[in-house]
Amino acid sequence: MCMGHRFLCGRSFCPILLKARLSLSIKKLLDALEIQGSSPPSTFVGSWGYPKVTIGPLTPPIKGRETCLMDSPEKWIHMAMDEILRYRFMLVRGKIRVGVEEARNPGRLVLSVQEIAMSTNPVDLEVDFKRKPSLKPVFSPREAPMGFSAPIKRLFLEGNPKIQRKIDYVTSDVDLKANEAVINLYRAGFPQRQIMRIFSLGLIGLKSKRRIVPTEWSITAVDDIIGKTLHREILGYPEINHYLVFGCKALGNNVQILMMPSTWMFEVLEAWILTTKPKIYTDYEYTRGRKNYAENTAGAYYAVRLPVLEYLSMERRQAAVIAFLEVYREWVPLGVWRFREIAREALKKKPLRFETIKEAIRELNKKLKISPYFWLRKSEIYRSFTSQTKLTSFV
Amino acid sequence: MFSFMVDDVNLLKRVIDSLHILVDEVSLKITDESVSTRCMDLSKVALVELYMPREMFVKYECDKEHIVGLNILDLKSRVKRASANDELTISYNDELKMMEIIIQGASKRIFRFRTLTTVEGYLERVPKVQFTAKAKLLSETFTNMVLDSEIVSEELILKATEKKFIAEAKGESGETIVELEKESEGLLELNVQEEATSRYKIDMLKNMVKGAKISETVDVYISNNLPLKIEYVIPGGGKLAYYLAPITA
Repeated sequence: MCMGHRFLCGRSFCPILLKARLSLSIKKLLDALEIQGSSPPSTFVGSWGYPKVTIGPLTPPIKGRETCLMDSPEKWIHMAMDEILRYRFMLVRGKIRVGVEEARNPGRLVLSVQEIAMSTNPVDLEVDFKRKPSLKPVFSPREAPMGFSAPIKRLFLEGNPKIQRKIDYVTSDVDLKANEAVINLYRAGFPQRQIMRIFSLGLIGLKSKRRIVPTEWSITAVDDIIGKTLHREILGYPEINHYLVFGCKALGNNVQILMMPSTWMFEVLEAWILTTKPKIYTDYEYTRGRKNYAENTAGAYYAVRLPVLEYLSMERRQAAVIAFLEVYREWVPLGVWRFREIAREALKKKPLRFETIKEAIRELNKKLKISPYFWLRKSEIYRSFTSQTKLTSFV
Repeated sequence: MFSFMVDDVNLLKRVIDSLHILVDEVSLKITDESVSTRCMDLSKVALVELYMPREMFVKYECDKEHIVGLNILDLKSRVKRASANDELTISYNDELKMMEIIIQGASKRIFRFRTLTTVEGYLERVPKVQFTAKAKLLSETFTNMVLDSEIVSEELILKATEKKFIAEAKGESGETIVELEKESEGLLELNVQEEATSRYKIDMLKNMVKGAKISETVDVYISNNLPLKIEYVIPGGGKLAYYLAPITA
């Protein structure tokens, strides 16, 4: 299993690609050097070749307001996997190669892409390509997959994209730091996806520091920036009183969350259940949070931490939290958003309450394929929670 | 108001660092005799205690007892601007109600910033522990004991017997044992009333041994399954101590 990288599975054909080819018959629609359509809005910045990167809009060859669904992961978790794939493969990615610092003084093409990124509603586009779009599916561990792509010759925006005043305001403020701008937009209720696009195209931050940031990195950066702010906030709240278990299964993924009465601690345990003995990946942080990057679970760590912190901030409580992520065979790598959205869905439901850790673990045993006893042997936070004494008990 | 001048800026920087490894905010108690603080980390697992008598400073003035809450980063970022030869004065400006850091070198630089109105964990109580063993070690030796153990595990066991002071760590990849006998160069003193064994998180200890930059020797106090105390003497008569709660087996 390639976990999202291409052809690492060793098979001579990619089953996902095959599925995509069979389920789609959009090739005909794309047999031209130009397309007209409504971008959801969606933009992509590749990481390959950084600091020279490929940026561009994603547009389906159809027009209409409904296209917004094609780039709204928060609405995808109740959809079928091939439906999501169908949506994603219908998006044609235009490509422009630029230096990341061009965000500060954008040329015409880059400016158009930036305008698309800022838009709240779908943007009608006309794109002329240098050659016919070809199908080279890109699966990344973090970003949703994409299908057809071609270099852009010309890009026309039909009409002016709708840019909300708040967005106009934070993007024009060249003395506002990027993380403050992100928090500003988040507090104003903008979808995270839109904030990520704006961040990615170097539209926020101090003027001299603005740069284009690959989509993959932007996703995690935005998760982390918002997470850090909420982390600081919840440290002042009282601890929860019970053991809570939350959970949700969707799209071949299972996210179970255990909260324990303690000061803030957090751990992600992730397992891809493809063999009989799956390896468990883990990253954790103690009360003061982490300073270095969560290398083992990468984007998933930040994507799950955010909804957990959102929940605690809303409840005005803190807790020690362990998130168990199981990925099953039927999953195709569609991006890290699913952990964020499935966790959000889990945390929307009423939690199961327990008086003791034993009861909570018994409940997890029913919900997880891997036994919680096996999981918890790998868990540093569980170990710390059960064995670390507090100085206050010696006073 | 209060005001005190330090002549060893680098030492002050190290002292601030040794607080920052555990907490982000402190409440300093400044009296006619000393500057001190005692604060617990957010998870209530560790505590740091700092005591600096007035003799440690070049000039020292204080009209009454003051308690000021400070964000350590606020303090650190300003003190960092001073170089080794500068004279540095920390004071409180009563009129402006602000902290002042004055750095006197090639020019006179004044930094003013606000204090915190509320600081949690203000002057915490020290855990009541009867320590049954005390070891005086070279700071470097103790630092190495902790770092050697970290290779195999997240936890270490400290043991004091009549003749030896030992650190042990066991992990999936193997085990590490560091033994200091009474004759060992790194062990300067060992007083054991009762043999003691106790287990601690390396993650926390590792931060604490950074205090080793302040002093060449360290006193380590342990008891059976009770918090540990490590204490560094600050040149000039001050002291820096950490307490750390044990983990149960």
